[in-house]
Amino acid sequence: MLQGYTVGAVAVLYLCVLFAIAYWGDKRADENRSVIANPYIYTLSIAVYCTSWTFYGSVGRAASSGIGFLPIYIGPTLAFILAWFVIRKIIRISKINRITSIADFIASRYGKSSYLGGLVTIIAVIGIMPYISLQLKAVSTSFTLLVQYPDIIMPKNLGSISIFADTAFYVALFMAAFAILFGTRHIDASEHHEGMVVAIAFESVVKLLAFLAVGIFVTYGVYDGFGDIFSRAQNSPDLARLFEMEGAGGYGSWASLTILSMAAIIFLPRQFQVTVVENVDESHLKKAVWLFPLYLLLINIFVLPIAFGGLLHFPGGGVDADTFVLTLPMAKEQEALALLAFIGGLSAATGMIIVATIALSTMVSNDLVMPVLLRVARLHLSERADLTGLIISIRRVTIGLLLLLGYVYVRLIGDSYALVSIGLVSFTAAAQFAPPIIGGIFWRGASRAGAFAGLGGGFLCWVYTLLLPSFARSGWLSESFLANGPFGIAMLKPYALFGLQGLDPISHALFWTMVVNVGLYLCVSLLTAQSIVERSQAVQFVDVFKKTTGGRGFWQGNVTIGEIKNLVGRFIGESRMVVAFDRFEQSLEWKLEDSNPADADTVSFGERQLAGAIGAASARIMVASVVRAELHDIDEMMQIVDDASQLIEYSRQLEEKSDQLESASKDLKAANARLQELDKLKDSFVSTVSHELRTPLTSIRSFSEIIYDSPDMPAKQREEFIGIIVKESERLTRLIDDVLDITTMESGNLEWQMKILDPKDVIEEAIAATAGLFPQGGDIVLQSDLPDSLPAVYVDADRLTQVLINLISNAAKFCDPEDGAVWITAQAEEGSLKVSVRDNGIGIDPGDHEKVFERFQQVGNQMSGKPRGSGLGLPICTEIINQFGGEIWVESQLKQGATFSFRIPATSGPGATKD
Amino acid sequence: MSLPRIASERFVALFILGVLLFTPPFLFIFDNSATVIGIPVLYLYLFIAWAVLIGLMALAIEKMEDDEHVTSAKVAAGKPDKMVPEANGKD
Repeated sequence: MLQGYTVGAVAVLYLCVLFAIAYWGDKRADENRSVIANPYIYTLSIAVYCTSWTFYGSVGRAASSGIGFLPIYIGPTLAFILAWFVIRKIIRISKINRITSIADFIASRYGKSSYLGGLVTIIAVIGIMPYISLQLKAVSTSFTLLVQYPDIIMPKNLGSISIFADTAFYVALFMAAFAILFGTRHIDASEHHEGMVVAIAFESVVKLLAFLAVGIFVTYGVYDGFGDIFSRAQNSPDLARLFEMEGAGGYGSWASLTILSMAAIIFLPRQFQVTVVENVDESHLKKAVWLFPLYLLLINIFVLPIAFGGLLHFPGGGVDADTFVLTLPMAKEQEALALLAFIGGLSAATGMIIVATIALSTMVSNDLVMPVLLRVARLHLSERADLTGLIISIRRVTIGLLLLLGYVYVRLIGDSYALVSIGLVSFTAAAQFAPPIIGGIFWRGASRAGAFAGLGGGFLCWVYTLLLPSFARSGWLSESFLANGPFGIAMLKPYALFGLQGLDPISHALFWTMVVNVGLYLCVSLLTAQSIVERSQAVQFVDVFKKTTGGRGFWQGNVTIGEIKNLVGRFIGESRMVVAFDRFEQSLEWKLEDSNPADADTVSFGERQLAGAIGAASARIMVASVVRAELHDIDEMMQIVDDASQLIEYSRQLEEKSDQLESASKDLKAANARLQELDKLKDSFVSTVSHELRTPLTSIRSFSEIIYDSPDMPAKQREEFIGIIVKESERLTRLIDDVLDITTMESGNLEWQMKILDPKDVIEEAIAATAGLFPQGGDIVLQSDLPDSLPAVYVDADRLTQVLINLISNAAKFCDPEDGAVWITAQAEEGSLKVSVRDNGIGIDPGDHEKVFERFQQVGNQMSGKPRGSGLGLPICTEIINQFGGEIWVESQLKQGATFSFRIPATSGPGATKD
Repeated sequence: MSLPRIASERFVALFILGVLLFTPPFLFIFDNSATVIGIPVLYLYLFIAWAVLIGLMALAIEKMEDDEHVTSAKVAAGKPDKMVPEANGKD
């Protein structure tokens, strides 16, 4: 006999076994002997998709709509064909970014937006809550039924039973304990819960075996095989109707359920948890791709036979079709089988509850509560070193609250719906995650605003077309809300929005939520700009396979030991790097080959070496740049980039300053050199002047002494000596005049008698004044070529004459001694007058051209060995011509004569060169 | 390592086949009250098509793994091949 306590004891025993298995799984994981590191456990854990909805509900749905239950399993099969594109990409992205939930995934993709993560969490909690209630209801119903054995009495409304007599309440308590124990044991960056996964896989085996056992019993024990059941059913017109698609709700429903379940298999939070987060090796997916659909096929083979068997066995609808799996063995008095069926249903329900609550609690703590707590500055949470205790507490409380809410929901609303309908409402909510995730991993342009608008719009639409109607059906809202629309507006009827009729509520809701969700997602994405963080995350997500080519995991094969060595060598120097790695090699006791991929130890050793040189943060960036892994903290990276650009700016400013200083110091050096040169020039000027003065003085003095000492000197000789004295005195006077001239000119104290005059007069005057140098019939001839009209110039006539006399007398002095010739030419040039004095003398070396204009530099002097002037003539000329605003220069080659020329501006008025 | 091109095309082809098998034009063929050994043809068709599809998926995955072995073998064999012309070039 199946007493209540027997059933209860078996259930508790079963749950204890589950605890033991989970404990064993966790222990093995701690010992690094993971039991889940194979594709079969992975596949079985994905089979958490089959909940009590599958176990009991499929038969119920098949009993009312024939093949209509099947799209829920065809959809995942189709989705798994594409798993290798979609799921593998999501797994890779999640591993690299250490993503731990679906909310985390969406938030991370769209620029680590905590608002988006919060929204996803809220949608998930509200959307999945009914689904959790569904499981509690199924367990409670099946328990209540079983304890009535051998009578089959449909359980009464749950609301009428006291809480403490309600199995659902105890199941909720048990599930909370399990989820808290194995789901929140510790905080792990990877969020692997190995014990939980093993337990789930075990439950998947139990529920499959239980269902197959019932199926085989009904098909072959009660009836005579498939053919027998269907043939009998065909005789009843009510049942034969179910053989065709007509009875399954038509093709529209078929298609929308297929699409819905394709989305659900990936985007239900618990599926994301087992498929993506708990995945330990991407290659496990290969086997799961066909093994999971095979599991679905197996668990569905006997759905139709059990459904028809039940319908045939319990005609008249007295027994809820959702309970056939349990009631058929009971009716046939198969105690053990009925108990097995109950355990199978319990497995299906508990598996779902455990995974869903763990997934949701992770989301609630990481994406809803923690962001809020961290923002509340008053709590100073971000300063606390260890937050793990807090996070674990939040998760535990969340799990408790979720199950409590689920229980409340099932008591208030659970009876108004068949199992499948509740599940489909949740599926539609989960489907809202499909656009932002699928779009997010294949479309770079998708923006946070787009995802937010799409998700928000889709969710509101879901609330309106599915959640509010479910409240209306339970009597929380007026029935007229469904029948006539809010405030009697027929256009807004939640099951026929904008007059869209002819679809079942789920298809209708799926259509509208997707139109709103995808529409807003696309439009807003196209109209808004992405932030830097969003763009970088988008690229990381979309191009996840490009970035890690050649590697399966974070460290594996991404970087060779040689590359790490090279990197370290770049910063700490080749020799120190070699020493460091030699030591490391010795500590490892095996040889590091440069071409081998670096393992995590080697990479982190390299990083530590780098950190010593350039700081930890920069080291991480450098290592990340060679391992081609992304940085987890984009803010940190932006901070470092900011710092670096600031440093670059400083260094640029410094460089500019140092350039300025350098050029200033160059200028100073040049000025100093010029000063020193001038000083030298002054010294040499003084000494030269003294020297030049001394020569005639010495001569005068010595001749005077001779005359003084020799009173009886012959008169002729005396006269000759006195002549020399006179000549030397004249020379002395001239020299002193010249020195005075140049010093007054240079000091600017000379008074200039500037006038506008005809240069021809001045030139002719100068020629006349020097006529003595060119005696008629002498060795030297002077030829002049002066045009009739020359432009007027604004000059001091006496000074210009002085220049001309100087040049002419120089020419006469240095021209060919035998056949000397001097030419004077003057010509008008554009805006100026040019006068040249040419001789046919020894000429001047081009290297000395500038020298001749310097003081006391007599080029010819050195060649003839005899001073022939004061050495101040040309410098005085230069001063004078400069004063007139003109220039003076010489053109000459050795032995080919010399041409001294000057050019002074022609005047148009007296003010032109006034200074 | 990204998906080998041919392998990914096989999955796309399979997906198209899957969609084709489970949507109306094909379903119309079997959507009638006929039975085969007592089982409605629609039920029979859907489960057989499903099983065949799963079988093809298993085959495609197996084939992909074979391809990977061949490719990696080729890569391994390719290295010495590459060395020879380089050595010749130096001579």
